[in-house]
Amino acid sequence: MTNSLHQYKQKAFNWILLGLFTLALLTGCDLVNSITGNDKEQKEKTVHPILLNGSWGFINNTGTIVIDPIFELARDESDGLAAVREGTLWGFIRSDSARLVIETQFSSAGDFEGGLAPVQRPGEAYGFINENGSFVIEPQFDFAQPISEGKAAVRIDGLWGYVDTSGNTIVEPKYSDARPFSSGLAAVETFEGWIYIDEQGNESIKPTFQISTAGEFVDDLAPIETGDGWGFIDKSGSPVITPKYAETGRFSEGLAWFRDGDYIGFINKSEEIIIEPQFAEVKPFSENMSAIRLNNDWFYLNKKSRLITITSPFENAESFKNGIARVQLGNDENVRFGYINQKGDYIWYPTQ
Amino acid sequence: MKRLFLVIVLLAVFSSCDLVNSITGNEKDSTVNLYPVLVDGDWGYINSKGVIVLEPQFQNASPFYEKLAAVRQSWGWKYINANGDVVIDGNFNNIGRFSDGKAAVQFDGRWGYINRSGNFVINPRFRNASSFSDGRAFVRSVDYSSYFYIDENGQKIESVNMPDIDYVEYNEFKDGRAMIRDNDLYGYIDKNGNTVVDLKYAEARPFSNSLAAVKISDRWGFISGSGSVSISPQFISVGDFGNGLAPARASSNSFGYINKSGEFIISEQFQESGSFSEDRAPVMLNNKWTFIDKSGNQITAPKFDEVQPFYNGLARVTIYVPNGDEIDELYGYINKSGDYVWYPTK
Repeated sequence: MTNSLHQYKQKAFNWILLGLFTLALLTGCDLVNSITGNDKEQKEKTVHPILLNGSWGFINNTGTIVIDPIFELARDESDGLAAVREGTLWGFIRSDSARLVIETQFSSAGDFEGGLAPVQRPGEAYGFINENGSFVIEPQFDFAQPISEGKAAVRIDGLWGYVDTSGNTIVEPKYSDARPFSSGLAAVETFEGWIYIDEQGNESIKPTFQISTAGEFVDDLAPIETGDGWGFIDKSGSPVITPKYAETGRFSEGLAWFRDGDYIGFINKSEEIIIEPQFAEVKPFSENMSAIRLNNDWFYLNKKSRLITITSPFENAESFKNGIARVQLGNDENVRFGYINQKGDYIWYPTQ
Repeated sequence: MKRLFLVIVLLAVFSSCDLVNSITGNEKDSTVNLYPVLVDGDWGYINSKGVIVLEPQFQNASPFYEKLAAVRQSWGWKYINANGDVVIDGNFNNIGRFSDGKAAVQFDGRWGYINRSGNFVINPRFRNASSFSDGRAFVRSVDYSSYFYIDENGQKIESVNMPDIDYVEYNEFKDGRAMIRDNDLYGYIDKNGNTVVDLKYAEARPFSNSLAAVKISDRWGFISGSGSVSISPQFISVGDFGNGLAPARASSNSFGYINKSGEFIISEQFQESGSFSEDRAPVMLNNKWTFIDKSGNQITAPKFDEVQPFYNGLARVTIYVPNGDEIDELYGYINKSGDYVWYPTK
């Protein structure tokens, strides 16, 4: 009895092991992905524009059409809404209800951020609407950028300032150009070059050297261009990565691209070269992948292995978003757009 | 028993992505004895008995290296296995042979290295790339500015006493040494890039059988891996050692073969001669090629217009056949006895 029970246990144990073994075989490759598993519900509600028979509609993350292709143009969703155009007029669809929620009526429309979008009716000034399509900041601006960190850059009589989400002026219009707030700072252009202001409008970074181009802060570093080339400043304004590069992009997932001669590589925040210059063109890392152009075609580089892992050639390739990326085949009249997953398989085969 | 099983399970978890490959294949130590043949304009493969085992269907075909062969089919370069199945197909502009488990491939105009699964292990970031040997490969930078050696991770091999080097045709590491050139002088580096033989030779050849031919004041001799002269310079012309012998000519217009002491073992008698490989060496007499064994016996009468070294027991031979104003090249194979295994075809 004891003996047979022992044998039974032994057998059961072996079967369990065999089960594990089989499971491991079947799932080994996907295991890492499924462990890191993203919010599935969120993913399913995300929509992505597709071009089909000459008109734009939307698919969800699994490649199913959720909004029929009836629009002349469609943009990526932002904050749960995506701008679409019929004729010359823009409106918005909602990704969760998958329908047109703000009728096409605007001659120009920016992206929703923080529940508001800058829009312009034909012949009128720019204002901001909410998600019901009602103006919450009345039309009054020459031009307006999307909201960022609760503030938007707006232009009045040719000069840029900032308003909050209630439309109160927080920085008087006085700059020749302005960029969105990020990490509490915004780059603005003065006669002496670019500087950074804080949320009260105080000139927070005004270095002794002149900045001819200024990017946004990501992870406490912002790319800037000076007479000596591109580098990065920290939030105190000190050039922690000395300007000397032919070109740099902003940091994303811990890496920033830089150009050395004709070729682009990536550095980390300690300015160590993580990926040697070898690409003709790149897009920032997103979801551990970066679209890169080698010579004629675009492919994808994996951040972990630093190797090209998606080797089908694309005419153009965009950053991954919620696990998928838009890719382009052909150009001009033959342009087709599709979507691939992180393995490089199509979830939407390119259509035109 | 239980423990062994657990180990197997753990192994499976770690390696399951590669498992399918390893179950279906292909023990590393055995070779594929198949040889490309041209039949009515298409390339196929014969076995060592001369029987067609892969039907002619390729626009180009290379020998098998590490059980994979580079072929061109439908205008694309791919790798096939011994069954003729395309196992790697990746939009390559050009491809090289497998060695050390890797192959150089040209991809979107750039050269990099793939593994046996067809995945990049070194990104396509070079202007040119050669095959790996001894864990090193010779590459040219993408901006054309420099040549250098890389290790198996794609890292540049550098050392304090290694100069910037120029292109050399024979750039494989052999016997732990690579021949390098700078300012038209040749020397040798070890695998870490240390210059172990100073750049002082106007002419030189790569190491083979632990010796390298170098030209010292108008005569060729041989040096060892440390750079010391092991066969004194006395020859007008030499080739590389193979199977312990090297082609050489000392006093005549004809080549013989010397041993590692520099003594002629096969007397000077050949118009041209190549190195021994698989105990056979190509030699030319009366403008035609044949092969000799290590005693100097010809295995056939000289009758070939071109020959390639023996590889996996056979040698490819070429004969020219006039065809109107042109000359057709016919390719055949002979065995080590000199018998045709595949009579020349085009």
